[in-house]
Amino acid sequence: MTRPHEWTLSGLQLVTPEPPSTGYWFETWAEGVDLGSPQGVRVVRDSLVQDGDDVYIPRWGNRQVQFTVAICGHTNADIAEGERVLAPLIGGRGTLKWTPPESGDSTLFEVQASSMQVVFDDLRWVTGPKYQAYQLTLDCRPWAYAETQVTEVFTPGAATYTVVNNASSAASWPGMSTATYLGQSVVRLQHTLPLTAPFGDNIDFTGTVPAGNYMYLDMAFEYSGYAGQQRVPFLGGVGYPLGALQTASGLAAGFTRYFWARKAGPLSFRVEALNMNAGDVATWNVNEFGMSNVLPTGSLFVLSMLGSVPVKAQLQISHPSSSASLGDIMVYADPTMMTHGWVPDNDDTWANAPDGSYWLWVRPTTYLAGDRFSIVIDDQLAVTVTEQSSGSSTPWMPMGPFVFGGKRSRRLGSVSGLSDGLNLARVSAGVTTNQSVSARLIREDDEEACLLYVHSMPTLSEGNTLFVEPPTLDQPLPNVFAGDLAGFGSVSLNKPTTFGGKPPLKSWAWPTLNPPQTPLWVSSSGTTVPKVTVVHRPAFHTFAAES
Amino acid sequence: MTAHVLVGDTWVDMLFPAQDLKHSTGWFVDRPSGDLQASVTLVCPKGYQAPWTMPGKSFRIYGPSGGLLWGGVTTEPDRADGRITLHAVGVGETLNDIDAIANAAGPTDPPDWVPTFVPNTAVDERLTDPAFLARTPVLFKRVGNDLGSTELGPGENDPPIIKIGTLLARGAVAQGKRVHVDSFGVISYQADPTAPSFTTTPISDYMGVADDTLVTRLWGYVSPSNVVMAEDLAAEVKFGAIRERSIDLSAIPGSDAQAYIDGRFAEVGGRMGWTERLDLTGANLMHIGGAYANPRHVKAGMMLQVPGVVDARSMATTRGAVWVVLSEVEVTESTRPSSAAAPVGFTPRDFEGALARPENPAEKENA
Repeated sequence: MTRPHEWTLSGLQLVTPEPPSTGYWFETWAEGVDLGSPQGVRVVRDSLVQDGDDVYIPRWGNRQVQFTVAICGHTNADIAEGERVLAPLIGGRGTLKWTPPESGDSTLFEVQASSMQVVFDDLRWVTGPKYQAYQLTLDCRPWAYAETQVTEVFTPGAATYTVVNNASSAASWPGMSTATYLGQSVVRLQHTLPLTAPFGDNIDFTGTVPAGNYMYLDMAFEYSGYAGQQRVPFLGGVGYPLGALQTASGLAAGFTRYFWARKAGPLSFRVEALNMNAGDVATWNVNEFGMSNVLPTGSLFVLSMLGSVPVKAQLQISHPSSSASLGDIMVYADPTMMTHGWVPDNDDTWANAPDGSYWLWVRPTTYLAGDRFSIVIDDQLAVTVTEQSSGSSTPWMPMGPFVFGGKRSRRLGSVSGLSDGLNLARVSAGVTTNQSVSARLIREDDEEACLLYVHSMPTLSEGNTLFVEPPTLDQPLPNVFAGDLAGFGSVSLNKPTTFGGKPPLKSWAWPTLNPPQTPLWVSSSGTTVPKVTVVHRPAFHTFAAES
Repeated sequence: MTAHVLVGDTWVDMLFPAQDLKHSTGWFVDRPSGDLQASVTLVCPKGYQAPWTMPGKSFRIYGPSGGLLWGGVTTEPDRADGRITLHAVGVGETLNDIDAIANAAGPTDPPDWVPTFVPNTAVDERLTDPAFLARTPVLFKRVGNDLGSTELGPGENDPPIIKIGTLLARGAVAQGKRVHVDSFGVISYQADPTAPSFTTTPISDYMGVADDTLVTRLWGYVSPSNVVMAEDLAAEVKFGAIRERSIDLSAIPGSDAQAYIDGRFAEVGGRMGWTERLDLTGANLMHIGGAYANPRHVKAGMMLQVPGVVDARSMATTRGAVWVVLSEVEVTESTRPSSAAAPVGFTPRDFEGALARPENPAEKENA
């Protein structure tokens, strides 16, 4: 025998294939079943278009499910008994579960409120099996859900490093010499006084560099002298480092692996040394130079979403393999990263970004509380003022807004001044100096792009995971907190974690995750790209599936 | 709504549903320009109390990509029907409530307060007063910006002690500029822009004019032997009217008086007033480069190009577009923010309101 429909309201079976010989049973009439549909809340955009409305749907309202249930019985008292079972389920919240016949996964409708109305037919009380019909009206959440909550883990791709040059000879490194440092063969560049402005030099690589996503350079700074002086080495120029690793595959002890996005053209770094006095020597030792498929600090995830409609899911962001703290975490959601092909931390891709309003997030290295940073890009002035002095963990700061692009101007990539390595003017106590900083480009779009930024995640003993929980009807109070995966020791990031401090949450929003694939850019100031866990009940328009 | 509100150290719209978030900016001659007012309504339980519902907390609005849009200090909230409406005024507005006072005593001696009329001194005295720093929720600062170190007063009509806001406005106008306090609290003197930042789409707005603010010659009284003047004779010819007004500049040093009267005349003189506000949306507002811009980023003090409108206010303009500096802009936040922008010269309609500032006795029109 084929399996019949399963049709249950909060656990009460409303379809009975084999009526019992005594007592009551329920039947649902196929005629008049209406699963309803989510009601889009329509908003008409202001536009100059004469005919036709520029309509969009920012959110969806509830759906109304209607069907007729009959309580059947052998006696009139059976019907009263059945009503005693059915009626308590009406009114409040519940679940309508439907499993189609033959095969298929169950679909759940989450009932918010409901009512029932008697459909009276006097003949049915007189002869034969008795029954009484009720018309049920269920106000349900808009989407149909699968039965099980899904936890999907997205880990960054394993880093693979391809050596281009192992610095055993100075052949492709003009102006540099070979040496041994920390037991490794290196090519080195040395600075001694007198230095003339701009106090720097270039490290050039003249060998052939194959195409690749990202480049890296293993470098160790070496100092002699510098008594009582702060040592200020810079690595910059062509590629501002997007991240650095202290430990990585093939990285010798004492060296740091700096990453940057692949640039076209000859490879050249600017290196500078400040605060030098007579007798001081600053040396840059290069041990290896190569290509990488990932960046350590930021990565674009393409999340494969189950379901057929966009959802706001719970996100958990943590270290991919250990319980190490992640420091600063940025989560940026924007479908145009996939449709246009750009990411916030690779200025080679910025030319692809769509026209619109943007902010540049910067992290200057040295400043005092109350310093003012400013920059003019494309005749647009942006300013920020620091709240605390720079230290080991200084926050990223937004500067903007900028409007970039436009038919009559140019592509984003050719806006003058718009690239990584911004030259900010810093005013501190009336003195103006310049500071070069790395930048991230963040688009401002109220409908589809959003940024979540946590500065300095608190370090917990039981593991460190950032939980992002958007509001739901079950849990109307959203939260962003740090905790371990078991939920112990959680710390809300919406309020200061120290007395008199600032909330670690600097910017927040709930990313919309669109099936089948949605891009999410995640970065961390920790030593590696975090992993992203998406926890949600897959949501469908009407017919749910488990996978 | 995708902008968020941080009151004190709490993101309040993460705790309660927020509605009607609005923020405005102003561009004034007589008092600090910059962030003006903001308000947000939160749906919260009746009688809800929290530290951030008290007045005097910092109030900051951030956009969806984390940028600071507006900064100020909360004032008394309104409560009704299980809702609480938080109100805030910009950092610059708080300067209108703080007196220009200096401490003539040494740093370790008991304070010896005296009035000051030197802008730099008035600001720095407060920023070095630990008692003041301890009680202010949002700090104004000048980060090395020179606000002037000459005495600007007292004028004949000045009270013995004037407000810092009044003093700074006087200092800015003496340089032909405005005093501006940005969302971070940084005080600076800014000149009117000379080129537009934004443009509306053609024929999307009409700008009417009225002649009740017309002034063709403005006299400034400095002393019985020194009266300065600014005029627009072409306007007299065009509008067929000679409208002379005078203001008291006795608080202004004689050497600054001409720059001052030129600055004031540039604001009100030689033309008629606008009668329309501009409604800016994502559909009619573009950056000057041609990309559509977000109306939430339009601030008072920016210049807006309104194409398709001929400036009927003065002789000089023959362009097919007018350039207006915005005097007051109110942004209504939503997923599609919009703003209502009033050009300089818009409001109020009467001359006394446009020019005379009751709260600034030094600039009262002569009776």
